[in-house]
Amino acid sequence: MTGGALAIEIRERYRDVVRDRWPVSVDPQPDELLSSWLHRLALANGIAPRSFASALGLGEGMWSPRLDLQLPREAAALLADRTNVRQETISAMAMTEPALTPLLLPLRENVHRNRSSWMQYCPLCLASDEAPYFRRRWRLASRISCSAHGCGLRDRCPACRTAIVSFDQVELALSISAHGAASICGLPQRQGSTRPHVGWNARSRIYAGWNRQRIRRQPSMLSRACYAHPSSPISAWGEPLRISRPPHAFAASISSRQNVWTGL
Amino acid sequence: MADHLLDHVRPYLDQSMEERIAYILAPPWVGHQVALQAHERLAELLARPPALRTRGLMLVGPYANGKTMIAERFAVERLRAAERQRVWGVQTREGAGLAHFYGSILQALRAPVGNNRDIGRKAEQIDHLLGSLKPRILIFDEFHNALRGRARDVEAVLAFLRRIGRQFDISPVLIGEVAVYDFINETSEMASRFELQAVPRWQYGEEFLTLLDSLEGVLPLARASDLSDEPLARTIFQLSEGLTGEIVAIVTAAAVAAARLGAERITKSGLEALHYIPVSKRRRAPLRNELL
Repeated sequence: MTGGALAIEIRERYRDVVRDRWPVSVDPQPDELLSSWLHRLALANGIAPRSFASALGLGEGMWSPRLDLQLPREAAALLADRTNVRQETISAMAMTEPALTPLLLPLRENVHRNRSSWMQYCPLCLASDEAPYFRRRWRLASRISCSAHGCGLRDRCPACRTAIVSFDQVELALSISAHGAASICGLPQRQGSTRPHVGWNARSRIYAGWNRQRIRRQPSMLSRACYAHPSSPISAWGEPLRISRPPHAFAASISSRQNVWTGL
Repeated sequence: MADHLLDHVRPYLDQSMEERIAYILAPPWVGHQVALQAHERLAELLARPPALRTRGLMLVGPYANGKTMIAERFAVERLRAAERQRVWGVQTREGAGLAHFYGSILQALRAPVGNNRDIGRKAEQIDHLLGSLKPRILIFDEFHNALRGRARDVEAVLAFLRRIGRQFDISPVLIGEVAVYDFINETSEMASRFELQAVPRWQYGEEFLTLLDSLEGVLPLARASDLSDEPLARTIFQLSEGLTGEIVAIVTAAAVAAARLGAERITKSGLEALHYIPVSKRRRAPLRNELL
C-alpha cells in the first residue's frame, strides 16, 4: 500500500544548519587599524578586550598591537570565518608591509613620560566619529598632526599621561569606567600609584559623580568627560592640559592649541 | 512493482547496498499529530506580541520519544525562513549551578568566550548579547540537567528564566522528562508562566497503524511488508513500548537486516531475529546472566 498520512523525511540537525559565526559583527571603518577593530568586535560581543585575547588563542599583554604588525594566516582565517568580514579586508587593516616597519611608533606602552608610546590619536577625529576608532595612519611616527583637523596628535591621556592600553581593558564599555569623575583619571591620584589604568582608549563617557555604570550600547557621542568635574562646565576636547593644575581648574578656558607634550 | 514506496524513495532501490542502508538509517522527522500540534504552539509563541510577563512552554515526555526532533525541526524551519535568527537552541550542560548554565547559553549563541572564569562576567556577556540579538525563543534541550544540584542553584536558574522573559521578552521552551514538569509546578510563580505540551507515548490504534504505513512507504525495500497488519503491528508495539524513537529504531533495524539478507521485506520472524529487548525490560533481562 502507498505511504500513509504522516510526513516522514530525513531530518536536518540544528547544529548542522546554524552558522558558526560570532553573534555580533562589526564593520571595519575606513582606514581602521586592526587592533581597534578587534577591540570593538570584542566589546560588541560582550567580552572585554583583555579576555578576547584568549578567545583568539593569544597571550596577555599587547596582543592586538602585535597582530597589527604580524597577522598569521590562521588568525586572519579564523576572524574571517567568525565574522562576516572578508579575509582580504582583515589583512588590509594590519600594517604588515615591510616598507612601513621603520616608520612605525615603537611597541611600548609603559614608557617614560618623555618617550612616545605605541599609538597616537587625534581627539577631534575621535570626537566627530559616530563609532570612534583608531586610524592606521596614526601608528606612523612620521605623522605628528592630523590631516583633517590640523591639530597635533597625542599619544597619551592628557590628564594622567598613560599610554593607550585598550588591549588591556577589562571593562565592557568604551569608557573610563574605572575612574570617578572627581579626580580626572582616578587611579593615580586616589591610590598614589602610577599603574597604567586600564580601560582608557581615548574616549570617555560623562559620569555623574562616582557612578561606574556599565554601558550596553556603544555611546554614540564622544564625551569630554576626561576633563570634566561633575560640577564644572565641560571644556572643549582637544585643548591641552597641564598636570600641575588641580583637577577642577581644568575646565577653565585654555585657548592655546599648543600641544604641551610635544611642544609643537 | 514497489507500489508501496513513495515516489522519491523508489530510486533508492537501484542504489548500492551501502547507500540504501545509509538512507534507511538516517534520522527521520516524523510529522505525527502531537508534533504538528507542538509546532503550532511554538509558532504561536514566536508570533505573539511583546508581553511583560514571561510566557514559556514545556515539552515534556518520556525519553526517546521525539521531543528534540520536534524542537529542532521547528528551529531549522525558522532558520531557513527568516533573515534574522529568532529561535535559538541551547544544549543544557550537565553540571550543576549557574556557571554551567551560562556556559551552555554562550555556547548556543556561538559567542567568543574569554578566559575569565567569573560568573558575573558571563552574566554580563549574556545580557549584552541577548540585548543585541533579541531572540524570541530559547529552546533548552535536556533541561533536567540544569535541575540537578542544590535548591539554590535550581532557584537561580529559574530566576534567570523569569528575568530574561521580563527584560528581553524571551520565551523559554524547556524540553525534558517529567522532572521538568515537577520542578516548574512546585511554585505557582513558575507554574503560571509555563504551559505544558505533552509528548506522550503512542497508543495502539489507528494513528499507530498510520505511522507504520508511512514508515513502510519511506523504507527502500523491494517488497511490501504490510507493517500495519495485526501480528506485525502488535509485535512492534510491544517491543517499542510506544516510544517514537524505539519504533523507528526497531523498524529500521529490521529493514537493514532484510536488505542485507535479501529478503526485502520485514516479517515477524525478521523482527524476532533481532532479539530486541524493550527498554524497560533491559535491567533484568535474561541476557544479563550471560554477561556475568
